[in-house]
Amino acid sequence: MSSEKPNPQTLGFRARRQYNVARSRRLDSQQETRRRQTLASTPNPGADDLNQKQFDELLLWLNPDREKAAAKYEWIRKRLIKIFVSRGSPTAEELADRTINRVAQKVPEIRDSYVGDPAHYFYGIAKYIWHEELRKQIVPVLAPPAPSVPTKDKERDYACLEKCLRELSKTDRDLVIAYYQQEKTAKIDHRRKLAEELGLSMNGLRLRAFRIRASLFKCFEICRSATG
Amino acid sequence: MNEVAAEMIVVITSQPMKINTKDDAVLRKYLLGNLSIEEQEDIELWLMSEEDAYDLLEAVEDDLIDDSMAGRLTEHDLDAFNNHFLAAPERQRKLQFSRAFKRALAAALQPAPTPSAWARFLDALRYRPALAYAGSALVIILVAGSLWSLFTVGELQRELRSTTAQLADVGRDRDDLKRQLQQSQAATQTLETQFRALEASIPPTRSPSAPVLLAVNLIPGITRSSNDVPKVMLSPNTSLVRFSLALLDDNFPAYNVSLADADSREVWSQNKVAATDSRDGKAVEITVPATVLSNGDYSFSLTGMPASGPPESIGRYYFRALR
Repeated sequence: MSSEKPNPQTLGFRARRQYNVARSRRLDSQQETRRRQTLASTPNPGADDLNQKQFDELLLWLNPDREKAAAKYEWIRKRLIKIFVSRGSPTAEELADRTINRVAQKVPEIRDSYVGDPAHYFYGIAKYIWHEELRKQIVPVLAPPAPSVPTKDKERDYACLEKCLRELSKTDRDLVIAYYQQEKTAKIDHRRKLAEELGLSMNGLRLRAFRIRASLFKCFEICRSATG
Repeated sequence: MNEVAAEMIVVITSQPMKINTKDDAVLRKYLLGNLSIEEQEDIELWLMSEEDAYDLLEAVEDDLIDDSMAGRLTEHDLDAFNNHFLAAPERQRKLQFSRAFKRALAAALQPAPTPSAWARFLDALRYRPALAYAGSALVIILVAGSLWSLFTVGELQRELRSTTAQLADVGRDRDDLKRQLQQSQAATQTLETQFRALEASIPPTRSPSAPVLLAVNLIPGITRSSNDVPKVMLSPNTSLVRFSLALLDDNFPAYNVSLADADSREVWSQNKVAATDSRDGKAVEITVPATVLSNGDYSFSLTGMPASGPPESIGRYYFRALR
């Protein structure tokens, strides 16, 4: 839509060039901050720029309450990234932002006629963007096998994880260790017993353990970027 | 674009879910890129619809990474894991994290061979809130009880100290009294000794109802036949008779006194008696037991005992004893 050069009057989301560590960290660990940033709406201009008016209309379409609209925006963006990652894209964040910008440009046309969850519309556009991407790259860029990590880095990683484990509450630490400790069949029995003790369903326990592990991962990422 | 979008809207809103998104195996296949396009879109639509879908998919992702590290993936899955799943840098970082996490889990489990009874108790509390509340209440009661006990013990200790101090005072008083008693006993003993000594110096028979001592002054020059012979009245209680033999001149340092009855038989004597000053001048005073006297005439014979030279008879002193 806009091949014009960035200028101060043009406000929009930059199509991210890289799905890098810093961006991911900001996404995951500072969701609230990002929501605030979304509300402030001062993204950098880029190839698929959208202006302030378009952005405001997008938020309004998501929800008349601007706070709720920002939360929904982040909710959708996180899932779009996951979809592109799962489809094997190494530039998932960029594709997600391109999807959002494309939807924002279409909002004036569809807002009166569209019926249903806006997230589903985003998903439809995401599939279209993915096909565009496939057409551009006949063979998707696949990451090489994960390289073996040098011992020095392993020690750094382990130190970071120990630090992050210490920062957890004792209850969460015990739970995450207990949940992931057993192997195979013993693991299932163990988790069932743990779920009974906590008064949770197996799925509830799984989500709780995952969320603790996810918070550990966020802490780990911050620690690694600080020490690396 | 408009046509594409519109078409997709129709497709999205009309297509029913065909697969079980809660099946881990299906989600794993999705993550490994092993689903058909239709199945893949079902999963993604579920992801864009359900609140917990994102977290559940991430949880499966974590399990997949754990399984890959534990060597639990088939060759086909491992190939898909390396070439498809790890395409995103985020997943490579997750793999690194999971390696460290696995090591931390192993380390966390190693030093806990058998949880202590106390640890098991704490675990039980953590997972059973009602038990934890009951435990907290018990702890509060125990703490309150302990404080009360401490207070009571403190009070008892204060009372004990006070009583001990009082006992010490009583002990000191007792020692003082004991010392006074000993002094008193010693004084009594001394007095008894003195009393005994005094008693020993006094003749034993004495009647409190009659005069113990009878004093009689005798003068020389009175003959036995004279009517003026002094009479000494002896009552039954008279135990001693003190005679004062008046001297005309005191020329001797000592005198011998001899008492004789009417038959001139000596019944009593005393030697080397010094003269003393009396109301009427010099005299030789002697005390004679009343028992030697009975009714009849008696006379003292007084002999002067010079410092050197022979004794010198001074005179006789007559008297009549009457009972």
